Amino acid sequence: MSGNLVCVGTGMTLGAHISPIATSYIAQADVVFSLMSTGITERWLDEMHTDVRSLQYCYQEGKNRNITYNEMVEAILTEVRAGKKVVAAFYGHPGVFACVSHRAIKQAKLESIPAHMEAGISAEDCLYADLNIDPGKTGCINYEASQFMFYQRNIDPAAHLILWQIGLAGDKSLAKFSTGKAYRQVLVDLLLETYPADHQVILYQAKVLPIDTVRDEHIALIDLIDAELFMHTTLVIPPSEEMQPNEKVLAKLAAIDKQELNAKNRPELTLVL
Amino acid sequence: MSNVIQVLEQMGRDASLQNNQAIEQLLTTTELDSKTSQAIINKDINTLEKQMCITPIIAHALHPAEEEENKDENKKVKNAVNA
Repeated sequence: MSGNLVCVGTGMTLGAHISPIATSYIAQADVVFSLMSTGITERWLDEMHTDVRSLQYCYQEGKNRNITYNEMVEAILTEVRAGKKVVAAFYGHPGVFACVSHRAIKQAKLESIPAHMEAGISAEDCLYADLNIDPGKTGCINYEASQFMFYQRNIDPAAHLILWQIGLAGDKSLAKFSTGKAYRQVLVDLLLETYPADHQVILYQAKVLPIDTVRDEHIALIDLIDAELFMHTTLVIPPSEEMQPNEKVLAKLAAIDKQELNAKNRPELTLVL
Repeated sequence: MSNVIQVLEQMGRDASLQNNQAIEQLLTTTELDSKTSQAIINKDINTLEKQMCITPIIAHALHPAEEEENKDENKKVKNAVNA
C-alpha cells in the first residue's frame, strides 16, 4: 500500500473559491490536514470529511515558526508514509506564501512518494479584483514585508509594490504574532527613501467569510505607523512615478526595425539563366 | 437547511445571494436561531463564532524564504554554473 500527498487550496472566501478538483481530492482522501485562517472556515472543512485534522495546534506565540512548520510537515508525512491518501488543505493558494506545502512535497518526492499541488485562488488574486488593479498595466512587485526589510531589494516607483504580512514587519525572531510601531517606523523610513510621506497607500484585507467586508483603506504612507494592522493585512503602494522610457533599448529595437524594413524593400533578385 | 456552515457556503457560492435583501430572505427559510441569523445579517463574526462555539484562530502567518534556504539555492546555482 503506497501513500500519496496532494496539497490543495480552498481559496480565500468560504464556499466561493474552492475548485472542483480540490473538493474531489478532499472527498476521496483517507486523511485531510487543514490549515485555515478562521475557526469558521476550519469548521467548514471539518464538515467535508470524517477525518480532518487541524494543524493549528502546532502554533504557539514565542515558538519559532520554522519549528512549527517542520512539525506540520512531519505530521502530514507520517500519515503519507503509513500508506494513506493524504490531502493537505490550505486557505488561499496552497503554494503562495506557504512553506509547509512546498516542504512537504519536496520531502515526499525525496522519499519517492507521489506528491503534487493543485492551485487555489490566493489573496493576491482577490486583491487585483477587489482593488481594481491590473498587474500587467505598470507591473507589480510582491514581497513579504519582513523579507523586504531584511534584504537589499530594488523598488520600482513606477510599478505597484505589494507588501504581505505588514502586521509582522521586521520580526526577525519568527516567534511573534505582531510587531509594534518601532518596527513599522523602520519600514516607513525605508519606504520614504522612495515615496513621498503623503503618498496614498492602501491597507487591504480579502473577504474570508461571505459576511466579511473587504478592507480597502486609503491612508498616507506616513500614517502607516499608527494604522490598525493585523496578521492578514496587506500594504499596497501604487506607483508614485511615471514609467521612464529606456532610450538605449528603444534605439536598439528601432535599428532592428529599420534593418527589417530595408530587407523587405530590397528589389527581388531574379535568376537569369 | 439548518446548519450555519451550509448557509454560509450557499451565500459564498450563489450569485443570487450577493445582496442583503436576498440573504435576509434566505435566512427566513432556514432553521437557524434568531441570534445566529441576526449575527449573519449584522456581519458580526465574533457573535457568530460564539454562537457556533468556535475558538477564533489567532495565528496563520507564513514566513518568508529563509536565509539558509536562499543560501542553499544559491549554492546549487553556483555549482551548476561551475559544472
